[in-house]
Amino acid sequence: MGTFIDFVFFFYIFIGLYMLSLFLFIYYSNRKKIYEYPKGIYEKVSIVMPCYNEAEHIGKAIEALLSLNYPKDMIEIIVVDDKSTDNSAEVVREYVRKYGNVKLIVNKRNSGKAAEPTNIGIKAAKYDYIAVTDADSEPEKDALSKMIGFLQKDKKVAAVTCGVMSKKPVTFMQRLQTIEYTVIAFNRRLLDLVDAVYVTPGPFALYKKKVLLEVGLFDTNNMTQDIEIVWRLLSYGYKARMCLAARVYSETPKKFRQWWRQRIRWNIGGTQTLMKYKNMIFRRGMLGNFIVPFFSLSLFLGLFGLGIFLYIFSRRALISYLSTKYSFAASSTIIRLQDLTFAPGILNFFGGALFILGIGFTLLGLWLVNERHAKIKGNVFNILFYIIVYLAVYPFIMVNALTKLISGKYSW
Amino acid sequence: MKKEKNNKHVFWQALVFTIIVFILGFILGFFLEVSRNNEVMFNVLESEANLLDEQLRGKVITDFNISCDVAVKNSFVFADRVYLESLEIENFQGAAKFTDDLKSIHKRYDLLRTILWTESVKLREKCKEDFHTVVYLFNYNEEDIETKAKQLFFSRLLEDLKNKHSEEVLLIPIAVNLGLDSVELAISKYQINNLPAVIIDEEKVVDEVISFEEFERRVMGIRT
Repeated sequence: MGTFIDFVFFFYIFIGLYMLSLFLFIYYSNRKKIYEYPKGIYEKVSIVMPCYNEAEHIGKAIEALLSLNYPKDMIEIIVVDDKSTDNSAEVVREYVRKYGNVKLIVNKRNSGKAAEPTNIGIKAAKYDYIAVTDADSEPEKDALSKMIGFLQKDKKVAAVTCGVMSKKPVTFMQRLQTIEYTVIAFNRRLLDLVDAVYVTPGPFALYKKKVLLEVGLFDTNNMTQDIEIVWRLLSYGYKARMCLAARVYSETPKKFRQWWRQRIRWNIGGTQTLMKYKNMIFRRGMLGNFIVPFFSLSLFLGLFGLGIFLYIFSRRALISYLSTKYSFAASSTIIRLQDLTFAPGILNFFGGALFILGIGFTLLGLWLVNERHAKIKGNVFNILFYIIVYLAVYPFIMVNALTKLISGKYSW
Repeated sequence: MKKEKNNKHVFWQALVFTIIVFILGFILGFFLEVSRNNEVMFNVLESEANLLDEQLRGKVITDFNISCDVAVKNSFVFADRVYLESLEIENFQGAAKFTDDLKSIHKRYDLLRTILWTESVKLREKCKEDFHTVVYLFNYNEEDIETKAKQLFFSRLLEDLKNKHSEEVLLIPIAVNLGLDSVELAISKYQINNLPAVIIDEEKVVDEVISFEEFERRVMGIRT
């Protein structure tokens, strides 16, 4: 008969199968409008760009904004330097001298997070629509014009995000992130179709200034202010939307260590947000009925799953180690044919089906989003590595992030 | 753009779909398991018939004074067969999730092997044959890490011995924790405190990790 561990596996498979089929059902019901967006009209937009030590990228980022397909007299670019120690401010000053709609504000102190300089920029902004962008990101020329309609057509929509893509990958880590970003963009659009967008990522997002001021601007204590702001907007009854037709290209960590640090920050911020809004569970529309439970369940399943995995793995490793040690000592066979034979059971069939479905869903996302740096052809190894290894690292990041959060030893 | 329709029904659709897939999966898994159990059960019945045949043959040998060679050879064939079938059960054990049938089947095999053990004792006394009975005692579904590792080690050690001396060693593995009185009674006189353990020719017990050479010496040398 099944053991406790078997039931745990069944539960995980059930949740995995449910989430995958949910995404597939959303896609199937809306497959013709994945790339749809409401046509908007040009209205004045203030673009706020918080910046810290981005001298290498900020020039290109400003130029990308200046070359947006949007009337130049209808945008202002406000760069808020968070007291950089490199020459970021000098680079920006060149653009300020050259272009009348580029402004620079230097924060009096280094706040250490993006929220404070962003809030400074928003307060200084002249226009009703605020685009927030990272200093290492470059939106496509038509991104802003495709996104603005969402805010104009629905009074309740207060924020719009777009497809965040990776800039041309160089390292293996970047190639994996390119796949990840593409799949996330697809997922986010699917979540948008059920009003469950839970983040407007920093690389490029559009907001209504009036609403941002109403809800109290970005949370300067949160490590992922771009997640927290959406949850707050939703808790106030507003909506966030996602425009897959618009894209922004962002720098991704080149090395594992940078990536690990970034993901820890994301996990800390996500958990901070979850703790802040835990009382919203099963209240307030999709925030309480889907987003908070989804985050809570992900956190629980990630940690519990890791615990179960480590228990089973260490147990098997210890048994193998001891039996091999005995066999070595006895100069007898170390491995029998019997040890290699395997009779698949129902759990294996379910697991296999889920794995194949997961691969299918990933390929569907990559194929539909059709991102130039994440083509399926010639990327098979990276895709498999992403599914089998890359995603498996997440629970470990979560544990590390929680440890840091509890101990209070974390920074941007 | 048209006003987007409410998509919330997909949550229920996905739930119903997942439940249906799960139910179908469970039905499929249940039938797979039952089919495997039936296959193993068929082997048990075959083995039972073989054992009865063997017991009858023994009686015929005694009553009609027939050569022991055939009886010994048949005991070896039977022991090898139930040994291989036990490996098959071991293989299916991890995959069984719905029923306890495999445990019952294992019990029947253990009874068969205990009968084989007693028959082999009689056979050796009667025929004065020079073969060795190696009874391997272990726990079914052992949870303790140290014991499980030792059981794995002994399985390998015994397989090596069996491969090297297939014509001289009658290997009889028996699980002792399935509540079989006859098994408990049979091993009670050996005062075994640690499992796994090996009883060699009803005379000597090995329950510690020893080298293959030493083990081979104890098995093959004990009656020579």
